[in-house]
Amino acid sequence: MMLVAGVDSSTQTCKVTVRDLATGMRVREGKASHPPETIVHPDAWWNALLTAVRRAGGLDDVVAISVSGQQHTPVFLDAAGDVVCESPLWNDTASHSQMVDLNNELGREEWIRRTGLPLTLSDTVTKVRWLRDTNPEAAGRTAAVAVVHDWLTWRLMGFGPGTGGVDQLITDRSEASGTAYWSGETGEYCMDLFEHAFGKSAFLPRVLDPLDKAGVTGTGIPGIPAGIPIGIGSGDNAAAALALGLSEGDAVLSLGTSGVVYAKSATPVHDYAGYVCSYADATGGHLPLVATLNAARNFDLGAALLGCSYTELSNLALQAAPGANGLTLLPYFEGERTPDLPNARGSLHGASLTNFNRPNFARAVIEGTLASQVAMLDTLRDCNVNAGRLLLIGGAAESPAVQRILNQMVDVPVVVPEFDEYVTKGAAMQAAVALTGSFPSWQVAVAELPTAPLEAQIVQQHAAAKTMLGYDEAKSHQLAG
Amino acid sequence: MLPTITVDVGTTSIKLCMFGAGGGLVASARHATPTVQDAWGEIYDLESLTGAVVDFIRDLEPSARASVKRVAITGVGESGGLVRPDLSLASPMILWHDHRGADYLAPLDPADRALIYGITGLPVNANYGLSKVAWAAAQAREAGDHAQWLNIAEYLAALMTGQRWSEYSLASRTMALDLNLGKWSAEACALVGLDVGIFPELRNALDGSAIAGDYARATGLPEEVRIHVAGHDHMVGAVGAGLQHGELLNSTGTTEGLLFLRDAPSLNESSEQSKLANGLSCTGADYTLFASIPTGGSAFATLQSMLGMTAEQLSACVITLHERYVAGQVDLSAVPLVLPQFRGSPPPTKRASARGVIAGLRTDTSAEDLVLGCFLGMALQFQDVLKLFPTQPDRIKVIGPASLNQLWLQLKADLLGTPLSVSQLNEVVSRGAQALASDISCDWDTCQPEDVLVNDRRHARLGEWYAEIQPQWEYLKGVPA
Repeated sequence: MMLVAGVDSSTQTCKVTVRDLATGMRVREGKASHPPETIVHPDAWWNALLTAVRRAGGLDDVVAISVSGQQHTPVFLDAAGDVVCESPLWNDTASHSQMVDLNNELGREEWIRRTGLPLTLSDTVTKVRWLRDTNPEAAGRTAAVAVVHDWLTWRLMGFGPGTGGVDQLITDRSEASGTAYWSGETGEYCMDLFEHAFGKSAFLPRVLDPLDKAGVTGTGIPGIPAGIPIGIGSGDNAAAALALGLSEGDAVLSLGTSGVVYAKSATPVHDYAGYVCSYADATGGHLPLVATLNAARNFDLGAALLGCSYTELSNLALQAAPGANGLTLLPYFEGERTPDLPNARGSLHGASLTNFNRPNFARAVIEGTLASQVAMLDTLRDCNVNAGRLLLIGGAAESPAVQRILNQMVDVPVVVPEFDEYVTKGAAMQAAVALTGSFPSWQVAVAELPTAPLEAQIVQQHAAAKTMLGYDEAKSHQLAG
Repeated sequence: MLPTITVDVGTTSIKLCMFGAGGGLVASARHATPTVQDAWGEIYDLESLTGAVVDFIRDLEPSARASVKRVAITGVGESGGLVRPDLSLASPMILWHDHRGADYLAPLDPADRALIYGITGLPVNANYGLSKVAWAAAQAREAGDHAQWLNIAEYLAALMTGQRWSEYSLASRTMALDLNLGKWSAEACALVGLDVGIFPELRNALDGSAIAGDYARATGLPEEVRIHVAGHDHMVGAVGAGLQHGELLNSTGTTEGLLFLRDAPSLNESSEQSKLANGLSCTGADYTLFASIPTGGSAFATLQSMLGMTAEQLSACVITLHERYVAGQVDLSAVPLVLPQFRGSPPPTKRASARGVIAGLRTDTSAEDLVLGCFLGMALQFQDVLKLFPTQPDRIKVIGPASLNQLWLQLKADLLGTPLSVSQLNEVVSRGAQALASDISCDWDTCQPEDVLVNDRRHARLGEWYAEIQPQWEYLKGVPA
């Protein structure tokens, strides 16, 4: 059996999965936690990768490897290859004012026209401006800007602090498309946008094609054999889409720390309404995507307030009627990205003596979370990206209440792929590409949920609560500064 | 005082007491207020209610029962039903918060509403009896011939005496009483198509009636016992608390009441716009100015149910929070802002359709934060309503279950910057009823009041906090239901 390894360096953890090259079946895996903070030294991610490799039993028997990871989050390197400073994660909200500035300076539509991205505080370009504004000295020493998976790939190639070689950094289309200084139309960087944001030029990783190879592993990396091929890697969602075998007409709802909805598209989109991010996928196509900051972690709060487990939260929610008798939750607990409300907090609406009870509250938590996700499907539709089938994945996908309630909120079939680490699987497929020159044909088993009548009031309540708090107007105002 | 059985029909419970000649409690019982559903909503279950009263009397020690001189009945205002001369019912006995008659008020134009306020001192609202009487009369048609409207307390008195009459403080909650003349208003009745004869004769709470022989025999009460309708529970509480002009009675039951005694009704534009309710005291000697906050002590049960706590657990949580609060260990900025309109809004809006909102939820919000936020919101709501009155109190007397909730009391005192004088005795309302039936006035000192003092540092901190959240608080109050 030939084995390949896929790495997912996500927001919270690093996961390494070793798979059978022929079938994609998982053979073994290892995990290591990332720091919980939203500004982190990149060494923590490299160390976590090495720990996860060790916990996976090492990769001595692996013939290729590839890394996927959290999108957007930059790593700032000097000419010697040293990390210049700690990195702000994509979900760090401190870059909100930089987002406003960049939109004001060039115009919101210009960013969308050039890059396909309605600029958010998560995009790499706003982090670059944040560094320029908050730490000019570090910005001055920065010679190259990579994204997490680019940098980890570069480390696997044997580069690192003091080695130089930042000109050997590589990336893929999906990762480049999340920077907001890359064009989906041309497939090239928009260096003028980068330099506008950063105030100077810097080396950016070379963008490889889907069937390219990043290089081979360097020597002396604990647990990782030297000289094996390295895949080009990708952003996490592109890796998952690849592993799921996404076709046009499919949309994916990923309920993890954040909520993400994306679909495969042959062409980039330009959503001047400001919701859809036009990312590239890992196959040469495009992956228009909408994301929320708050998703499955909403269930942590719900379970904590009710003093119950996730299973009990799900059971309670299923005891309540659709609409939770009018109890409505806007789950913007840590601010929100879609809609753009960085200073918002969660709110509960319509509470009365009769409806403010445990089943309704549990249901309101799940409905509120899913309503934010379903709203994103509508925005994709507004960009002529239509979903005929919805694939539900992520940590919360197994919840019976999530499955039942989601089914009551959308008018397309919902399927739940069998549990897998799809990001590591996609990365492993890219490792296979580095070895064989083509994508492997690994199967995905899915279960289609039984159909349920559409309960339109759930989405209506959510929309009414947003209107009540003026959040509809807030988006355009805040984007305009 | 005269040995007295008191009956207090509250929103959530019926309190039955017997007090001896010295005012000491001889016996007591409490039952959940029995209700059943009809086609329009919840109504009194009269068989259970009257049965509970009879059982209480029968279960008294024979010597105690033989000593009884008075029965004094008090209860919620605004409830009632149509009662025929033979004391059979021509309508359901409707609860105070029932709005089944609202359609009869809808056609009233601003001039009609101003006229009603000028006559009755009440802002037009479907809680008050008038629209319920119109509804009941329309439903009963000819079956309602000669029927008269009695409040639930008045109905119980009618069953005990065979006579139908209305007590002044309860009559002043019907929106049919001419406050200045102390007579039923034909003009107000005509606005909803009623003849003034549908209301019974008026009597002072001091004027009782002889017990009917049948009722005396059925219960074992002496035949010389006299039955008094003591009046509206909040007004009877004022008697029990020895309320003086210039003092505020803060009665805390299921709802929270604010009551001043006055020499004359306050019928000016400000009071009308503030929807303050004028009325008559139980003795008829004073006018009253009253506002009710729909969500009072009921919030405790709501929180208990929602958070899955026993009463003991929630009490322990409140005690812990109180200790942390007075020790300065509460971070107010982390506490969610709770608009506790779980049962509609208080004056000046008095919208039955208003609902509670909880804003400022974060992923680290705890159950304790919610509890604190709820009582803080109730203190804010109290402060808002108090500001509506034309005069501010020399002293605030607190009666009811809140006397056990040190957190709620301390938050209120610190927020207002005004000390509270809090009765340590239960059932001040029932003691007021005994005093009325005995034609004796009460002294506040007999309620063994304790002061809740203001802490200057906490008052200042709450003031700063209020300044920060005030815009959001005002916004939330203004959002449509």
